[in-house]
Amino acid sequence: MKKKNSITIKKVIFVLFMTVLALVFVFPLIWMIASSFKYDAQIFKDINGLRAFTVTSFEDNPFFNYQEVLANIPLVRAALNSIFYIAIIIVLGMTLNSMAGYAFARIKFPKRDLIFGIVLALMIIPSQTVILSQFSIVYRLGWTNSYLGLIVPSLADPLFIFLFRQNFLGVPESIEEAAKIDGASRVRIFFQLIVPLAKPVYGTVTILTFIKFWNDFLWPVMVITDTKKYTIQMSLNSLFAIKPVNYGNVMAGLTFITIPVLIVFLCMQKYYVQGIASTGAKN
Amino acid sequence: MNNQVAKKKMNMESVTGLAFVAPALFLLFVFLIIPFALSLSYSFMEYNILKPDEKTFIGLKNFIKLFHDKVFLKSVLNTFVFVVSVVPLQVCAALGLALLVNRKMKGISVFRLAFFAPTVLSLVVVSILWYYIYNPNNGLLNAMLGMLGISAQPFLTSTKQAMACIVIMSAWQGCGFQMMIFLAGLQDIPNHLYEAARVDGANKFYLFRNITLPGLKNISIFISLSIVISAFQLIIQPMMLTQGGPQNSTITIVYQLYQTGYKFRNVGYGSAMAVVFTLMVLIIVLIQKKLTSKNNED
Repeated sequence: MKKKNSITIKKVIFVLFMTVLALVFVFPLIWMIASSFKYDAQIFKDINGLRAFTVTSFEDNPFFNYQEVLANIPLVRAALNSIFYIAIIIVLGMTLNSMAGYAFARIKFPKRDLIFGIVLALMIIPSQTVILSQFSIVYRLGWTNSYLGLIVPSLADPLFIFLFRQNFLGVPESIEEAAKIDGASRVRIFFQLIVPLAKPVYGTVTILTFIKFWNDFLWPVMVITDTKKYTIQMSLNSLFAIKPVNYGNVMAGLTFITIPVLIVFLCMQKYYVQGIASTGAKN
Repeated sequence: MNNQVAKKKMNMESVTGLAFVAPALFLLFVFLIIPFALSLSYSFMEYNILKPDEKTFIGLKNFIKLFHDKVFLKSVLNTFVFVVSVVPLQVCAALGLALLVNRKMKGISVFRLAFFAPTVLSLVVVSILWYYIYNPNNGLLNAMLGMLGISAQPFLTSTKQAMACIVIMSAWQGCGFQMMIFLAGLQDIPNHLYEAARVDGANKFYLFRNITLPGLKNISIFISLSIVISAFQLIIQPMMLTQGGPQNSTITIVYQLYQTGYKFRNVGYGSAMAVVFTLMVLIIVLIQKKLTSKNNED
């Protein structure tokens, strides 16, 4: 009996400790969401206590900050812009990265391992080293201020080719052999047999791609100049630049653009975590 | 006859294979390999991006200028200070969190989610949020410190505290990601190793030192390396929080590179910075490779 008690106490202490630790990680988010429903005066009044983290006074219209922010800044349009170009990157990029991954895993062609080695080596080039010359290429192609400049350079990704290859290596060859005997072409085998089998890795790459480009800032800032074509992070930056800054508005804007990522993350958590784990485990 | 058929089949196979990799390889070539080569060549030129026809070869002048450029040297120093402080902090935090959440318990996934949540946010969102948290006048952090009886701090407005603020914010945002990788590594360590040691009467510290840590060796190296590389690329946080200030105390290499090459359109000089930067990252990668191969020989 006594032993059981001490175990429960230990457990309670552990949970308390973990709760405090978890709060350290989420307090800014709670503050952000709570403040997005308040007037600035209220935010500063509440800041000296735990009231900072709760919605203290309910206005007639709790969403007034959201309405103001959406009226001042075309966040919805920017969100749609981002979703549009990211969707294209996901569909096209995934197709060509997974085809390359499949060939590196399963099709024999001359110098295959050498080429794959070069693709792997490309992973260590820090993106910022090439960002200026990438921009000069996009500039010469006349793709500045166009989604082409955002999409085309972002399609091929060594990390995703690698992830797809590792995954296809795990598909039993006997499945393909049977189809080959039936006279199916490689293209048919790949799209009708392999792709459906590899759904989880496509899920992983979808979410990794979405979060990467939804949060991308530096490259869109360089390529896009027309405010109508602004991506979500860029338009958020312009919200930050309006002076004097209205805290409530900013918090509403931050919450607004964070929600889609949180939803995607929560829905596809399993794939995301698997993806992260596999990037580490294979090295 | 049969041989010929087989040969023809092989050729078909090769063509298909090359066709499968061609689109990806073409794009990687145009948007990664060529830019990499261009960076190298631009670094020996005087080149304004808006006047692409007026490139002039100036030899090593850009590099010589770099080593006399006080702001650039400061940015190198700042970048190193950032890397050296954020890497141990973030690796230890990630490992600590992974050990804490690596247990079977009801509701443990809620804690995992909480630690992981900041990593899903963009650096822009996180930076804006922390800008208000760090605000010295009516920011959240000073209010919280006030409740604990600690006097208000200048945070981002002080040359002494600004970089530390960026370090803490970056580790806070990033460590959940590496926690997940560590967690996967912990779960790969075979349980029977622990059981056998426990039977021999080993204590918790012994288990950690002799089973957990060696089991995580390769993952730790991988994680440290990936944090080092991303830490070297620090730009968004100082760009949003301090614009490199106060008094250049948070200016970083990549921020300087961006300002020079993009804002001021001086691609030649910016590319020279990029080349120096790449060399530094490459050296780190090579050192890591050495360490890993040594470890695997053990």
